[in-house]
Amino acid sequence: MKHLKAANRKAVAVTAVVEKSATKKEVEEDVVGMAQPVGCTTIFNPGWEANSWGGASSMCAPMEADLLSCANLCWWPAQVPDSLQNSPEWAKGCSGMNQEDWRNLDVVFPKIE
Amino acid sequence: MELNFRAENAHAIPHGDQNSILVAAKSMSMFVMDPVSQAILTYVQSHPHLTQEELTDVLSGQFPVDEITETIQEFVALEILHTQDRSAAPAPMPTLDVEHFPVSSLVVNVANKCNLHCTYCYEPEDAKYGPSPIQMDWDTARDSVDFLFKKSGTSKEVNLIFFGGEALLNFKLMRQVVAYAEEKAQAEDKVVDFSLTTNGTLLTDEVIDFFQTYRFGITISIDGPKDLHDKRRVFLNKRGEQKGSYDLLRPRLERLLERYTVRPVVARVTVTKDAIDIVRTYEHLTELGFFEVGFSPVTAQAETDYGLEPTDLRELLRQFYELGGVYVERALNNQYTGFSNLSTLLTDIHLGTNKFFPCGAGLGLLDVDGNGDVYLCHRFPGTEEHKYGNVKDGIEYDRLNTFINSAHLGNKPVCQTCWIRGLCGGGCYHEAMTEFGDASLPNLHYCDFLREWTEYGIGVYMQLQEQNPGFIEHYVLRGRGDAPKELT
Repeated sequence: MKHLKAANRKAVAVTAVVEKSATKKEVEEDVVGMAQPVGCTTIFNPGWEANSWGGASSMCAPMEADLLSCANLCWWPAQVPDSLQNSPEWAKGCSGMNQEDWRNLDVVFPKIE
Repeated sequence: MELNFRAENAHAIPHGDQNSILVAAKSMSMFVMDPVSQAILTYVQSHPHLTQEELTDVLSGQFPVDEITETIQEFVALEILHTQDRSAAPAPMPTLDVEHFPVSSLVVNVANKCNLHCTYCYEPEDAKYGPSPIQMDWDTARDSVDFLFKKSGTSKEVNLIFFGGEALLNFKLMRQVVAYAEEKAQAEDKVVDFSLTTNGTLLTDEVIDFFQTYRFGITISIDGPKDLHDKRRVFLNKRGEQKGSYDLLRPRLERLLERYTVRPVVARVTVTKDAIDIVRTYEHLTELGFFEVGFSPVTAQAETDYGLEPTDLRELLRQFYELGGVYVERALNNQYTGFSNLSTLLTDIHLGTNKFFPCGAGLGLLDVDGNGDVYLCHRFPGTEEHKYGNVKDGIEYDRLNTFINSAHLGNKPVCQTCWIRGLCGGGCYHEAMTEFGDASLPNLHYCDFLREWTEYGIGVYMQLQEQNPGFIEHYVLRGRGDAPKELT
């Protein structure tokens, strides 16, 4: 830590850890598990949310979830059916190989009991 | 690379003419910022979502690019800048299992009655001191000691804290307990430490000598010079008239402070409305011979005449600063000032205290009343909701776990944006229960007071570290509240 000079004992300890880990090779961060719904509900993604600073950090379903988790590899800019419980086949035809793939998404109708 | 500023993890405090201190709230580590880091922090405060390229562009006219890059990495390491936003969902909270946490301190309510009738006492008036008998009996006391030793697990040191009511109303039992605990400690190869809080009105030479023999840690509840003390620390006679306790207390205190020499004696002052006179109180008590004086705002239910309102807290803070000024001046000449609140704060700042709970209640500390019932701490006897079993039958860990986990800092959403969350831990459970009806809530009525006080403490800390390096390590740093060795 060259630009932040430790001022209390905790800072000395933190500096030591940071400097030690800096010498190790960095592990690339990866996004995993996107086939699962990201939001706090498995029924549908509630939509866009922002935290009190206008950002999306720490939110259970940030707006980016719409871009990433809507339907496996397919981008779909709207609410999507729950692909875990009720419509597991919904995105089956969507391979994500080309941009037109979204046309293969299935159509979901509400069930009438 | 995307950069997102995490405002809740950074707090800057101006220091000197040019520098600022950075508090990295995630770890409570503190740094002096150089011009590069200062410029970056200032910029991201107004542009919280940006890319590294953008930030470098803006500042590259002022600083070399490699220095900017290095500094960004340092901020990233402190989690003040996050490199990606969407992964920032909080990790699930670990669930704590209190059962495997050693209990090292037990508060024993040997007497469930007090000879004083302080008008601000938190013991509920209708069911004063809860449902237990006036005096704890020997069987319950012995079970309590056994309970502590058993629950302390592999912990070498155990603490027995005598409390009441007024503990000295049952001095006879205290003697028995101490003898028994000493014997048990020897048999189990542990060290037992004794302490008590008392109003001091029942001190005699016999009592003082007993304390001396067993090296008791002694805290005296006293509110200052006669006029302040007698305001609310009163006797009540049979006709219902109040009479101040100062005159009776004073000679006993003088005797204690003269005769008791093995450990420093501490005064605990309860600060109430219309009785805020910190410097005068401090001077009076240290002249009497107290080593340290700790000030504590009264815990007040709504609509009492003694509770501190925001304007009173402001005045309290102003007077804390006044005594703090004396503290600093003396510290620069290597003299220690026994202003507990500031010494404790300086210790926390130095160590970078970062905790998930405000105190050890329910974890390392429990309270036992005259029935042998176990409570969260000494402030809860009589509160059914926070009774967690009995020393004979054991602890109801299901319920205790539920409470402790609900009181975890991670479950206090408003605390998440506060930069002193790790120092404060959300505040006293009993205070929260009195103020808001729920012990697991944060002490919102003290937030501003504590943030300002902490900021002041950091200023004092930096000044001492720069102008008298070593003073904090040598004089202030305390292990478990003990006084610095050369001063005892």
